[in-house]
Amino acid sequence: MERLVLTGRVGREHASELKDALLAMARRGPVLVDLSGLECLDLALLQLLLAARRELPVTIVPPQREEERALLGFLGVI
Amino acid sequence: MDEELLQVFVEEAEDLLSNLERITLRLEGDPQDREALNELFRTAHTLKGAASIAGVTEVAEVAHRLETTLEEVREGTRAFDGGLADVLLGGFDFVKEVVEALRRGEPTSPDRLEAVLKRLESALAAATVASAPAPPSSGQTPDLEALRRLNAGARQRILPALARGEAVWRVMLSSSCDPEVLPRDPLGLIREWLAAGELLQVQICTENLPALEALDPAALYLDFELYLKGAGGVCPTASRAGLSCPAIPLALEDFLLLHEAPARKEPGLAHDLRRLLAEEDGPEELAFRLDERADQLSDPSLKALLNNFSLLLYAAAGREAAAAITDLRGRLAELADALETGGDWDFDPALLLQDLQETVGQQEPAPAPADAWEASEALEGGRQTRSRSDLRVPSERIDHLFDLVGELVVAKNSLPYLVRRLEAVWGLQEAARELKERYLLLDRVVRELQDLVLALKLVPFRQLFSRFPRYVRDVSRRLGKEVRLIAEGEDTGCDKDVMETLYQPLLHLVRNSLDHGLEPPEERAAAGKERTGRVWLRAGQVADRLFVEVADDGRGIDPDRVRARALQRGLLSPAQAQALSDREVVQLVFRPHFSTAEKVSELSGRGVGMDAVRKVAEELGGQVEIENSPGRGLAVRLYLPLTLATTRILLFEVLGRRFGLAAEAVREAVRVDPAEVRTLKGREVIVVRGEVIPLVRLSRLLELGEEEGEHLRVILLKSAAGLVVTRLLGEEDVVLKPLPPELAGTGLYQAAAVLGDGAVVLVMDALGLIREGSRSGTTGSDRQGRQGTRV
Repeated sequence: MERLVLTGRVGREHASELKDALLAMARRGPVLVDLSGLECLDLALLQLLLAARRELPVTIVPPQREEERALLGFLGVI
Repeated sequence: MDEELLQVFVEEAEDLLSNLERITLRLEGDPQDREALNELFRTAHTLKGAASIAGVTEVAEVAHRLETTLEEVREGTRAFDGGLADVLLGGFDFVKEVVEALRRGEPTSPDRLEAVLKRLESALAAATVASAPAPPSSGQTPDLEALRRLNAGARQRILPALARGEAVWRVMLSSSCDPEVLPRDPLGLIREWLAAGELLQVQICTENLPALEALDPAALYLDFELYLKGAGGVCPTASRAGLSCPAIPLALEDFLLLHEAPARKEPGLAHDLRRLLAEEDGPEELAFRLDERADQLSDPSLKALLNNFSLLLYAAAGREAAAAITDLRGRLAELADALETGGDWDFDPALLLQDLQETVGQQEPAPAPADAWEASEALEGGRQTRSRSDLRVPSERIDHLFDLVGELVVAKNSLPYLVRRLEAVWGLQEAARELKERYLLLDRVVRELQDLVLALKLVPFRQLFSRFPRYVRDVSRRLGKEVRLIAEGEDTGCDKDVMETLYQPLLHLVRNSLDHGLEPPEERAAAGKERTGRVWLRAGQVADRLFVEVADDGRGIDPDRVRARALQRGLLSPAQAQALSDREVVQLVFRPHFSTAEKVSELSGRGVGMDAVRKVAEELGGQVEIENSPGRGLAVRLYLPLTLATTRILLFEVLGRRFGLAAEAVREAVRVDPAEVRTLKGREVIVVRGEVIPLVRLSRLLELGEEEGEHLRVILLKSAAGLVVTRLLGEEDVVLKPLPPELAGTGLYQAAAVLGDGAVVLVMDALGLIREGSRSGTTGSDRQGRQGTRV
């Protein structure tokens, strides 16, 4: 399983790059998206994660930061 | 069809139809009134159920179609407007025809059903075009489908807050919203509200999210369905954030789902329900676990049923309604039994909604209504669903009971005379004392019985007034007038039979107000009046009389036109026409066939109405009065006697003759020195505690002679007049009997009564005495000048 690690602030400016990476990795097999070091969830990232999870074999590792973990939990993403 | 079932259905259907009409009109006035919509839906559903049980298929079918339509409105797929109100009212009219035929014992015509349904469908189709639902973002109706999709966890966060009486709002942050109304950063707001504990639930809708390949990372595709806590009339959380997206307030009722008997049984569900009930969970935990189990079900109706039970449990827990919780547990056990045995279903969503409203209403009073009409509607609404323990009794039996109580009172009243005879004639003091003690006990019980029977016989004017809103709506539409109907004094009680008799006269008066009294909107605006005319229906009690009044703020009656018409028809000579005051001239409208209408319309103008009104009032032992303010309105008031099983009367003597007067009309009795009697504007008056009270000398009025003595005994009436009598004899309960025709026309007497000692007395008419006294000069004339002091 390939691992995609996202740390710090992941904003809209990274979204295109992320999308390409996700698509490329998914062609090779399941992907582990590691959000443990994520500091602030952005809307663009959220949309990417939801779209990816809907159509690709993606597993998400929750963020360690309490606020982000709570938010993703509340949104039903993790 | 079972005759007895049919009879029950007819009675119930009449009540339901009256409520259906009333609520439809209320909803037409305020299509956002969710409570009215739910009530309408529930009532239509009850009608369908009642018709099905009685086997009146055509009513059941029509009611079913109307109920489905109302469900569409509840779901937000159909708007409620005048067009839809017309369709519903048309459907109710058909049901009314069927019910009336059944009441008359005539066969109904099921063949008509197909035609009626077809007509209903085409009307509904037309109404759909005319009432295309408002775009979801601008409406105030919650999206019921969205509420239905919430899972157990989401419901667990939202429902307890609603049940505790907290305000909960649903806000949609939609990708399709105008960018101006979207927040700068939806996730930022969600974070903020979550931290503040204001956000109960978020649902993310991914419907617009494209495939990853096609996704533009800079675009917004997600819709956020937010459930926010708040208080007051606006969603404070959303407005603080500067959101202009609509925040829709939610009510517990919005979560109630329509369900039918499930298409198939769910294996294991009965067992699971019993297990959940056996565990010692509190009601909220049980509700959550029911929802969890519901989430696993495939049958949508069964899922809805479990969700409904969970909703009721949340509501009952929020209100700490222990009895409701026990009841719900019992009904869940019944559900488990029914699932296992394939037994009948009795978990009607309309009844569950009623339970919910009762539970919610148990501890939180409804907000104070703005006016009397709303207040009475709220009251009526509360009453409109008949309690399951109510009993219907034919009115003839009540009438019989009423008469028997009257006889009992007269029989009881003979006992004090017997006591006196025991003492005075037979000298049996001890027996007289014992009989007196028994009499006091009997007197108390009979009084209570009397009050009880009286309450059975009296019905509030609301019943009569509720027949008018539909009529006023239809007629005012036809006439192109804008009319607001206002009812006052609807709680005033009146004998049911008298009320029935009043319907036609009131209809005449309301019709006159609509057709002739109220001006068209443009004319009102030009006259500086509000475009919407007002018609009042008022009821109340004054002294010993009931009154019912129809008033309007229209053009009133032009006295000159009445004079001209009276001259033209030869009813008055020119001299008479000149001599009569405007007030007297207006009374001519009560003459048979007198009308000032320029043209006869299909509604009125033939001059038969006012005459008929007066005739009915007189037949009921009352009078009719008219108060005319040209250009400002007209009020026609009917005074009627209080028709009670028994009436407490004050007995008095006038120069050796006994008379009675309803005690209700009497304020007090005083003794007056003849020197204190003065004359004011030709009328004899006395001054009691600073109040000038005109006197009526009954001995003169009745031509019995002159009162003599050191003091005058004066009965002060509540209607500020004093009757001079010889002496007071006490009070007694009597049954009022109609007067013989020769006495009925004098205007002095209200009725006759048999006293406990067998004597017959005439009971005087307080208002009639004042009127007659004033007319005949017994309240002040040259005759009184001898002993009066001019002031």
